[in-house]
Amino acid sequence: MAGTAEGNGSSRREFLRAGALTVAGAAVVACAPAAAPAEEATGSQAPAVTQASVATNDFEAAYEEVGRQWEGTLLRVPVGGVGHWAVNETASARFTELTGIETEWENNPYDQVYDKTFLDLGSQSGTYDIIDLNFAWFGQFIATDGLMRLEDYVDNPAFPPIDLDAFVPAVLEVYGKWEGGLYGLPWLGDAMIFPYNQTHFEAAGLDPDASPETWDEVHSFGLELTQDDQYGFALMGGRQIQAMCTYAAIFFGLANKGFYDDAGVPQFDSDEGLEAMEIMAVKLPEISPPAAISWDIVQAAEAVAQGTCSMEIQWPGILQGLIVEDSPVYGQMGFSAPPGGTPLGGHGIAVSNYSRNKDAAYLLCHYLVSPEIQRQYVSEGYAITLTDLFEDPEVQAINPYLKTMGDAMAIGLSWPRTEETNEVFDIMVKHINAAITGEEAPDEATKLMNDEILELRRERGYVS
Amino acid sequence: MGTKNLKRIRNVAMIFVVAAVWIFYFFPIYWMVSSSFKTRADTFAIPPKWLFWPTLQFYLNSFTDPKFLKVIQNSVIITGTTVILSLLLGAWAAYAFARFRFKGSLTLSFSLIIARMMPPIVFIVPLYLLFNSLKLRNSHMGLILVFTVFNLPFTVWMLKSFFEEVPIELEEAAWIDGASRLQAMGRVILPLIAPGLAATAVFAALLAWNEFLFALLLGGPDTTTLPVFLSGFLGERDVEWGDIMATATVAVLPPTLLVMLVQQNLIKGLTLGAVKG
Amino acid sequence: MTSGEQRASFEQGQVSEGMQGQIRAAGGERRNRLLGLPLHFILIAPTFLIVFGLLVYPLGYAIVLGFSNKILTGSVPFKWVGLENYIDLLEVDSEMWTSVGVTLRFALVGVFFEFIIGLSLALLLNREFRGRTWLRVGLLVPLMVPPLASGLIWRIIYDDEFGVFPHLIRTVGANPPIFLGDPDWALYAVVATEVWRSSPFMVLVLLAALQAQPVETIEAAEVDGASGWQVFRLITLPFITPVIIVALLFRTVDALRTFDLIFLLTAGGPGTTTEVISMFIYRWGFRHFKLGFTSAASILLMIATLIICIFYLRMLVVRQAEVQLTQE
Repeated sequence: MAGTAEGNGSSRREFLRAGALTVAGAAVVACAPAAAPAEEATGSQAPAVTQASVATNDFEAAYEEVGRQWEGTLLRVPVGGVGHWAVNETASARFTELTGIETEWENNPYDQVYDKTFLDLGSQSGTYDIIDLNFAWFGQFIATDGLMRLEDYVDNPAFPPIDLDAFVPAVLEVYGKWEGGLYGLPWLGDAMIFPYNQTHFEAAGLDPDASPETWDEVHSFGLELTQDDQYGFALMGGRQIQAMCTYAAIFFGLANKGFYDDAGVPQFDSDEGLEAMEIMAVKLPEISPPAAISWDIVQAAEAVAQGTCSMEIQWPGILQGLIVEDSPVYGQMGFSAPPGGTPLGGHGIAVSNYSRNKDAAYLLCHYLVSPEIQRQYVSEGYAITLTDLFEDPEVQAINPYLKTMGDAMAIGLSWPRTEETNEVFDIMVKHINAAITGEEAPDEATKLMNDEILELRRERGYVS
Repeated sequence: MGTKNLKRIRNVAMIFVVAAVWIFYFFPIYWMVSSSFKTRADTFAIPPKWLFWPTLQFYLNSFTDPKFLKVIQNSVIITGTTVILSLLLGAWAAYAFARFRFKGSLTLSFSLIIARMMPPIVFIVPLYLLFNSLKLRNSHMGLILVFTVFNLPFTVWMLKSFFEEVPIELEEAAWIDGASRLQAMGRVILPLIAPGLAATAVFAALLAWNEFLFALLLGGPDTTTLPVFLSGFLGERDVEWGDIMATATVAVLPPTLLVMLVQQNLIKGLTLGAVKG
Repeated sequence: MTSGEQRASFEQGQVSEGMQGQIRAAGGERRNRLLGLPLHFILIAPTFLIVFGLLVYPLGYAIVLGFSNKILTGSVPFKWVGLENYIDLLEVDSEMWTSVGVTLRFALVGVFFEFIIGLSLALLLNREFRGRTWLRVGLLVPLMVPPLASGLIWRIIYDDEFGVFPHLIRTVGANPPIFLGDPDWALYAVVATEVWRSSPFMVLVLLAALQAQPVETIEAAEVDGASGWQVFRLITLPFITPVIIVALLFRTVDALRTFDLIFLLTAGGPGTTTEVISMFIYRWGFRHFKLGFTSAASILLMIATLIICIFYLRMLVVRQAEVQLTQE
C-alpha cells in the first residue's frame, strides 16, 4: 500500500494525488488516529495560498509552497541532541516555520541509533520517517527493504530542484547509491584527517609544515617527539570501533585498495595488511602513552588537545577542542590528509520505506542537504558534502581543518557496506585490540582476523 | 588505665575504618560532581586538577533544555508506579509463600527468579515485537510493566524472608480478635517489617530509575527517562562529558531524597520491632 | 503434607497444635479462602500473571529460535538446525568457554568481596556511632548514579594519563599498571568497580535483616555472659542466614549477567580478557544479529544460572529444615 508513494507522477497534480493516496493508505493501516491528516490532505487544494507567507527569499518560498500541503505532519528522526544532529535540529526549526511540518529529533546514544533504526525497519513499524544512513549500515538497511528509492522524487518537478552533481562524487556514491539505485542524499561528510602539533614539531627540530607522508615517517617523527611526559602519537587502541578505523586508515594508506579483492576475499593477510597490523600494534604504541592501549576517541583527542601527544589520526567531528581559544594547544595545530589515504565516514539522509509521510520526509531531507542550509550552518558545525563549499574561501576561513577535510574526502576510500559489515568490524576490533595489548602476536592476529572474516563472508555467500 | 587505652585505640581504628569507607564510596561521586563544574580542558587536564574555576555552563544547559523537565517527570512517574506495583503485588505473593504451605510452593517461588536469569539482550527483540503489536512501545505503561516484571522476583523473595522472621503468634492474636488474614497482615505484620519494606522499595526504585536498555529500546520520545536522556550526550564521535556529569548529578538527587525519607521509616521500623519483638 | 491444598495450607510450620485449634474456632476455614478460592492462590496469582504473561512469549521465542539459524538481517534463508547452535557453543575451543571462565571469575570474586564488605559494613552500621545516619544514606549513592556516568567516571579515574588513581600511586613512588589495558589487571579493575556499585545492596539488605532481629535475644545472651563473637556466630548469623542466602542468590544471578559496566569500561578488552558471557551475547545478538545462536547461548546461560541457584536454594531448604528440627 505504501508503494503508491513511488508513483512516478510527472505533473504536480498527479503527484499530489499520489501523496494523498499514501496518507489515506497509511490511515487505513494506522486506524483511527491517522484519519484526520488523511482528510486534510485530500481536501487540500492549496492551503499555502490562504496562509500568510513567512518565507524571506526564493529558496524558502519554494519549500513553503510545496510543504504547506503537509502542514501538521510529524516527522520522526532517530538522531538528535549533539554534534551534527543538533545543528540539523536547529536548521529544521525554520523548516517547520515555513511548511508547518513538525519534526521530532530523538537524542539516542549513537551506538544504539543503529539498533533502534534496525528494529524499527525490521519490524516494519514505521516509527521513523527519516533514516540516518551511516553508510556502514547501508547493506543491513537494504536487507530489511527499509529504504525508499529516491529517483522519482529527485526528478519530480513538484519539488524544488536538486543538483546531485554538486555533491562530492565519492560521497554521493558511498552515502547515497546502492547497486545503481539512489536511496540517500549525501548529508554529513566525514573523513579521517591528520592533526599534528606544529609547535612540538619545531621544538623537536622537525619542519612544522611537513607533515609525515608515510606511516614510517609517522613512526620516525614520533620517536623524535617522544620524550619524558611527551608522546608522538595518540593511538585509539582500546577495544572499540576506532581501533578498526585507525587500522583501516593505515591499511588504506599502505595498500590504497579496499578490504576485499574482486572475488570478495579479505586482503588483510597481504603484505600491506600485515604491515598495517605491525604499525598498529608495535610501532604506534611505541610512540603513544602506555594508557593508549585502552583509549577510545575522547581520550586520544583530549591527549592531543592537552598537548601531551603531538599527532593523531582523527575524525573532524571531535576536533573542536583543538581550535577553541581556551585550548592549551590553541594556534599550535596543523592539519593534513593522512599519509597515503584515508577512510571515509559519514552519512546519507534517507526516507523509511515504512514511513506514513514519505513526501514530507523527502522534502525535509531535500531541505537539509540544500546548498543554502549547508552554507548557512557550516560555521555551527554542519559537516558539508558539496564540492563548491569546500573550495569557497569564506567557508575555508571558518576553521583551519575544513579544507583538509575536503581534500581527505576527495581521496577517501570507503569500507565495505555489505550487510555483514558490522560483524566484520566486530571481528577486526577484537583482534586489533588483542594485538595491541599483547594477547595475540601481530601476525597471528592478522591471520585470525582474515580467516574469521573469510569464513563469515563465505557463510553469507559473498565468497564462493 | 589499660582498658581506657584499648578503648581509645578502638575509637581511632573506628575513625580510620569509617574514613576509608567514605573515601572508597565517595571519591568517584566527588569526582563526578566536580567534573560537572569543570570545563572540558580542566576535566581532561594532565595531571588531574584538584583546584579549578567552576563553571555552571552544564547545569544551565540542562535546566534550559525544555526536554529536561519532561524527562524528570517521566522518570518519577515510571519509577513511582513501578515501586507501588512491585511492592503491592510482591507483598501479597511473598505473604502467601511465607505463610502457606502448598504443593509446588517452592518451585513456583523459584520459577520467578527465571525472569531475572536471562540476559536482558535476548528479551529485547521478542519484547519489541510484542510491544509493537500491543501498542505498548513508547508508553509509560509498557516500561512500568517491564520494570515491574524484573523487580517482582526480588521483591517477592526479599519480602518473603522478612515475613518469615515475624512470629506467627502475633498474627494469630489478631485473628482471635476477629481480624481477617489480610487485615492482620496489613495491621500487624507490615508495620513490623517496615525496614524490610523500605529496603525493598529502595532497590525496586533504583532498578527502575537506572534501567537503560529497555527504557531505550522499548521506550521512545514520550517516555525518555533520565538514563536514556543522559546517553543522548554520547554522540557519534564526541562525548559531552560535562553535560553527562551535570545531568547525572541532578539524577542522583531525587533518589537521595527518597532514601532520606525512607531512612526515617527505617529507624521507626526498628523501634517498632523492638517494642513488639 | 498429605491431602489437598486447603488442608495443607493450615499446616504452617510454626503453629502449635493448640493454637491451630483456637484459630479454627475463630473461623479459620473461611479465613483462608477468598471469593471461593484458596487465599494463597489469589495472593500469588497477580504476580504470576504479570511475570509470565509478559515473559512467556520472549522465553518461548528464545527456546524455539535456539534451534534455528535465524539472522535478523533477513537475506540468509531461515532454516531449522536442530542442536547445531548448542554443539557450536559447547565445542571445546569455542569462544564461549573463554567467556564462561571470565564470567565465573568476575561473579565469584565480585560477589565474594561484596559479601565480605557488605556484612562488615552492615555490622558496623548496626552499631551506634557518630555520623551513622549519614553513612547509611550515603552508601546508597553509588547505586543511584546512572551506570553510564559511573562507567565513564571510573574509566577516567583509572586512566593512566588523565586519571587520579594512577597519579596518586605515582606520587607515593610506585608504578601503576594500565588498569583497563593490562590483560592481567583489567578484570580486577572491573570487579572493583562492580564491588563499589553493588556492595551497598548487600549492606542495606543485611542491615535490614540485622535490624529485624529481636533485641531481647541478644540482651539475654549478653546477660548470660556470651562474648560478642559468640553472640554473632550463635544468634545473629543464624537469624540473618536466610536473608544472606537470598541476597547472595540475587547478586550472583545479577553478576552472572552484568553487562553495562563492562561495556562502558572495557567492552570486553583487552583482547577477550573481560568478555563476560553477556558481552559475548550482546556481540552476537546486536552486532551480528544472529538471533538463533544468541538464543541458544542465553538458554545455556539460564540453565547454568539455574543450577547455581538450585545450589543456593538447597542451602536455604537445609537451613529451614534445621530450624524446624531445633524448634521441635
